[in-house]
Amino acid sequence: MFSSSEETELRQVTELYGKVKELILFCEENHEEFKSNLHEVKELRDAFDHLMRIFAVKLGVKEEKNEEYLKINMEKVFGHVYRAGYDTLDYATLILRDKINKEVSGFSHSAIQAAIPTYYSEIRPAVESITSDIIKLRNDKDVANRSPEVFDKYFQNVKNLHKMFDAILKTKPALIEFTNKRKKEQLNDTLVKIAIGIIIGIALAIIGKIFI
Amino acid sequence: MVKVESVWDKDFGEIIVDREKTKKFSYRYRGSMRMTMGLFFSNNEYEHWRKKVLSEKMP
Repeated sequence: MFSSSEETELRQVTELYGKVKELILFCEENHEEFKSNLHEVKELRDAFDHLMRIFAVKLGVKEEKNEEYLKINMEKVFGHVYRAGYDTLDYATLILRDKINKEVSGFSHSAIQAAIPTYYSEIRPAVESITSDIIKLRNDKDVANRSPEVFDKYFQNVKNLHKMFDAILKTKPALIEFTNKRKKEQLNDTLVKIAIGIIIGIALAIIGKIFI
Repeated sequence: MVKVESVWDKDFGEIIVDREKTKKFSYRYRGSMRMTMGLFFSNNEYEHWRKKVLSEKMP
């Protein structure tokens, strides 16, 4: 039913869809309120519509004389799946950024540095760079252009962000322990200072009694 | 009804959802639980959430 070039294109779009679906499921399960994004649903619905136009011609349900019809619709299928994909990459990146931020905010810089030595040298610059890259890409009007390599690069970036988030989760006990230890040390310091103050006060009172 | 032949090349419109209505009539809906509970972003809501996340500085 399909020529070999058509089959190759269908395989490419199917593989792309698999990645987009993985991202959508990740977003739905990881957003703090488990929200899905209707815009991605719309893009996939439109992709499905163009795919059905191709099937309608191939199966003889629709009569089509324009030779470019199949090619145009295949382009549209790719365009919509890519748009859904880049929107979902954006969503996944922001979910992970938000999660990482919430895990580390509230802790001091010294606690973060001690518990996660790579946070300031690797993790934070990577989060900022991945976020700004995906924002630039999403603002680019040619987002629907076919480029599996570019999409894969950003897909991999999201996976890397996920690994960083997991690494932060693993170090969270150390982060809490460091903060508690520091608080204890500060409390001890304060108690020692108070004790010294009291001792000096008593000593001064005794000296005052003796000499006055 | 539109004739089948003329329907193929028509595009769908935008998806416009009223969250409150979706929840109100959820008892008549047999689809996604997420939709029924209003757990979705419309376009404007997503942009609002996006700006909020990006405005929060990382330590």
